[in-house]
Amino acid sequence: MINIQPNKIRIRLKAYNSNLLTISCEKILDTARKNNSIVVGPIALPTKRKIYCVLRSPHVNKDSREHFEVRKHRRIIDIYQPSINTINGLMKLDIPAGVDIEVKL
Amino acid sequence: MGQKIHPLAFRLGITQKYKSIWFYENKEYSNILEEDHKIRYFIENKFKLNGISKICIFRKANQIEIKIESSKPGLVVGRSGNNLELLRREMYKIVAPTEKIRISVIEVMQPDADASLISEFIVQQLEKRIAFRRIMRQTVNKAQRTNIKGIKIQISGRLNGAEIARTEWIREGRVPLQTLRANIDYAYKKAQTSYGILGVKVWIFKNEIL
Repeated sequence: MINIQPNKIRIRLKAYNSNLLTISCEKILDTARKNNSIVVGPIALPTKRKIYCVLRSPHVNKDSREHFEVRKHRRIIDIYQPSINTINGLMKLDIPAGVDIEVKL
Repeated sequence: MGQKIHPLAFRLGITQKYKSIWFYENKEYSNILEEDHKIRYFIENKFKLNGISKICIFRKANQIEIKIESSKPGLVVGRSGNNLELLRREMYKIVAPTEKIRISVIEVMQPDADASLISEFIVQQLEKRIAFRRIMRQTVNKAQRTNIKGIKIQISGRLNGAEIARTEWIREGRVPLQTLRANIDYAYKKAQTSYGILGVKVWIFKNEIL
């Protein structure tokens, strides 16, 4: 088996809660730094906000409404020259529920 | 004046935690939401008499963790985990086939200070046709023995089978609904009686989180 060491890993993190995101980012940065890789990040991409406007009443009363919003927070972490230890450490990492992680090599 | 906002929704980012924690893109969001609703509906109906207070659903990559808070965890789990196994099998029918499911049951330490459990208890008493005023007073006395700072109970509908519906409420201590840092537990349940539906609302003021 040919073992190809990738040059850079890009990790994209998404969540509805920014506190959860910062905690997950710190965990990833810790594992990466312990295994001596060069880490860049976390880079915060703009937060996407989706606003839903709904009627408050179950019947008529069109003028009275309520707004709800959903915020998507996004971060990027780049790891350069990752070693096998880093990748193993990252795979074993336990990220809290509610954070969506995409890893691209 | 105005109408009151749902106290749990009001405090969601602040003193109230979310009951479903996951992240999905817009394409799958509605399907996952529907699954969550089906899971909750199934569990609540199946364990109605076993004192279920809260159902928290955490989703990570292809894994669902369901945490059920109950005042009678022994009944929920069944003898040597029987009920839990049955529950897991039913969950597999509801949920998408590629998910792993973990179910854990947590015991509620003070069932008399939990709004869901209290309201469920009131509902069961009302359906047995006990006088509502006695129920309210008994419940408030029971709750006051625990260390909560305030409780308010409201029952509306055809009380004692009256022809004209009305709303009655009783309050002990203080229940500051406008204070965001107040940890207020709220529940709304419906009692099905032969005269119609009685709505039961319970607010419990536990403490202030600074």
